[in-house]
Amino acid sequence: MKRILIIVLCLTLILSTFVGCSKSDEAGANNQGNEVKNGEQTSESSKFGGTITIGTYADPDTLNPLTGNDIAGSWILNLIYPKLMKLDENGNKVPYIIEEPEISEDGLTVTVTLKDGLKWQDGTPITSKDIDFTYRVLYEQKLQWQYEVLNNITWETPDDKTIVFRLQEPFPTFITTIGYWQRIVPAHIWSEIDDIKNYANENPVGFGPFKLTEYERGQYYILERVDEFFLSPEGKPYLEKVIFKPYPDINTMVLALKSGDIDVTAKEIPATAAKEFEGSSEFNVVQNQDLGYEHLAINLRDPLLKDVNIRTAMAMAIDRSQIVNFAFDGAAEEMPGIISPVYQKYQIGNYFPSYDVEGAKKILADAGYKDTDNDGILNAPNGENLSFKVMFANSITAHEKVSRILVDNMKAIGIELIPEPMDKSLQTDKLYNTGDWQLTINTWGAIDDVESSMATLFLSTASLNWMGYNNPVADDAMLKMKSAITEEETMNFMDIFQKEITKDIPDIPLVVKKNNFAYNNKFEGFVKLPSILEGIINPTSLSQVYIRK
Amino acid sequence: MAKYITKRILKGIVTFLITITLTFFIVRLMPADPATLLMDPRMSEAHRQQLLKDFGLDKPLIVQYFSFLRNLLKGDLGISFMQKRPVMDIIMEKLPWTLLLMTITQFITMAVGIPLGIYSGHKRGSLFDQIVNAVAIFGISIFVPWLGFTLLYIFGYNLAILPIGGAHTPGIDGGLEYFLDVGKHLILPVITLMSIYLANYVLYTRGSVIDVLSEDYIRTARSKGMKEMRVLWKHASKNAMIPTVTTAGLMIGRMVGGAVLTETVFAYPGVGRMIYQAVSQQDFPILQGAFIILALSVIIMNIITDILCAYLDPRIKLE
Repeated sequence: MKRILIIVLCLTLILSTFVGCSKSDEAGANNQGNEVKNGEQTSESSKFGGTITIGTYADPDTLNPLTGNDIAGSWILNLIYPKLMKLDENGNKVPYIIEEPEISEDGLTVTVTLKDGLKWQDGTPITSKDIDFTYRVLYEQKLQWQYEVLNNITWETPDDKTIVFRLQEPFPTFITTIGYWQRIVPAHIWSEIDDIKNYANENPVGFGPFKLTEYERGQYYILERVDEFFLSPEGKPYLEKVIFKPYPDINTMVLALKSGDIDVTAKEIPATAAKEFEGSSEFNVVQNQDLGYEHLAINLRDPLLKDVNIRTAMAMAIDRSQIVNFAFDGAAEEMPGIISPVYQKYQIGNYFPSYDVEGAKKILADAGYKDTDNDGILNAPNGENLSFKVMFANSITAHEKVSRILVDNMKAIGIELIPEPMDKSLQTDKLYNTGDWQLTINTWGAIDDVESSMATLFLSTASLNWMGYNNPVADDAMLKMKSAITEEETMNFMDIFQKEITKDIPDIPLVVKKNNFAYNNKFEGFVKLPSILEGIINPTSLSQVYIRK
Repeated sequence: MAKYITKRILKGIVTFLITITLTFFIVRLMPADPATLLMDPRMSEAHRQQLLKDFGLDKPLIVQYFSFLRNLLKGDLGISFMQKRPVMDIIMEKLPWTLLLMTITQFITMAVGIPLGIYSGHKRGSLFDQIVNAVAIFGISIFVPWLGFTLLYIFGYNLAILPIGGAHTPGIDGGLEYFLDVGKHLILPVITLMSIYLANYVLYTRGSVIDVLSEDYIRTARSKGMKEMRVLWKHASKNAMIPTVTTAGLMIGRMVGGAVLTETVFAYPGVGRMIYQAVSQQDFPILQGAFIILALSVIIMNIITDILCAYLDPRIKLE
């Protein structure tokens, strides 16, 4: 009996503390609200002051800017470490901490000059030695994929502001690729570190509109503004503090935004949630475009799929408008060619065969495919059914919906598709290792510098060419496109490449996704950039966001 | 007794060795590998191979296994592939939060579940018993993320009296305010986790109370003219507790399963959420570390409950 009494007593105690805390913390929450309001009051004369709380989906994988490899990390690391180039609103790479790079006429020398007066957060000036150090470490220790961009390239630093790169063959996107993807670290700090690859970088010192002052993994990351930042309209960021809070569950993140626990999401939100926010007077929703795209890749080693007639008919059977409206709730754009519509310049009329069910049926009939056993599915001359398995990652809801639309689309022309949802790692294994697949629905996360990146996807020797595409004419065009110096040459090879690939159809691009971001409209001044990497949480944007009076 | 304890501990060590071996190979049986999962349109095959080398995954499996054992003996759980930090540090950062969540959940669940079970066993077939049974079974079959999210929606958003996720508010450190803030963040995750485990305690206790109440010594107690409540709480409940204590020990392992879902929904910075993330990234060292700690705690809890039961019930030792 005594024991039970003790239990009951403890229970009462615990419950009473909980009741107590819900009261006192309500007061706590109110205090927080006051803080924000105070910020507004002090900013009556200007836009300065206040805190923004940003929802993300995870902690950064690491705070090491040289090895960090995920999007959640890049939102934070890009605010505190600089790159030579940044993205502009149209998806072009433009100078960030440098002046416009000078490329010599033969395309073999690239001269980069740093902007004046930039300093690391500890006061040391940023010099070309920092770039030299970072690129050297990157290359020697193979820290990230972009080390390969530096293959066969040498460089020197004639003075503190200049770095000159010498190339063995022209590579016009060299500086945009390495410049955009590689963060620069201060040499005077990092040259002291023994094992850079496994360095956790617990107390980052970098350059950007904010500096990391306090964090607790899994909980929050608090950044405070710096005194001087050249991209800010009034010399320094308006916001005093930026707080990142990770929410692994997207629904919880949306709820936190609704309730005011956070002010904006760095991660895109589902289209249904975006619609709800659009109807609210408290929130604004903006939409940006992905730099990658959703596609249906085809295994060309398959005995049936290697017939271009089947691939052409499949391309003609796909109704992309259904995919846009039903799989992506309207938040996507149809993709008719191999280059995303984001890159306007390369939309030169070379498109995959467009939606035409009757035309598709005719192609199959002419190629000798008939339904000989009357089961509604066409048969090859050897009697085999035109039936294919299409795999997709079961964690991606949109791909599951795409698969259902494709099943219907293909049924209309007599081809059977069997959806095969699976774990992403199993799908990856089939694509890269076993090759045991027929069709797959996938996403390319970010395709930038299309002049050079097409070769990493479709070159016969590329490791990402799981399709097994092998066309010497296309190979040649892709390689020449990468090194073409003049615009005319680039366009010429781009045209050849596009014509070959839209004829061969190793891969059927479907749509370019649009991402929705919502923010509390007491904030103003966000700059929206393409891709899920940037969205509205990037150095350009946060250096000018302020709280509306 | 000493012999029994030694035997039990030796058994525990063997179990532990088998568990870590299984863990090591099971995580590596996952299709693909952590480097391939990182592949993107700009990464080459050469870089993929480089990553595998960095992760130590280029060596034969058996070599990897022995170097894993060697490091484990030194107490070194390795370095996380993705975070590049010692796994021990990462786990130690998360473990206190999970322990806090679990201890409080276990405690409240027992405090509520055992009396409920005893009473409804006693009132077998009554309306009270039926309601308790229905609620317990409802709790066991509910989908945890759904329950968590519904609670968040009602108490975090609609009523706005509890925070939406997290373990504490940034900026509040130390003192009573911190203590209360942490408590407030615990309420909803605890209720959610309780829904899964409450039924276990209620039903186990109820079942064994029903068994015990038909024993001879209860009849004796009643015939001595003892009050029914005293029979129930003093004589019956003590003996009815043995199976419940055993389940409490086993529950630790099961709780972690619930923690993965609960911590993810509530953005709670514990071990469950860490496992969730490590699985999707195939961060083998973190997974191994997490399972080692889990296996260890389940094994130790089992040894303790076994010894406890042997002490309570001498028949066990003899078998």
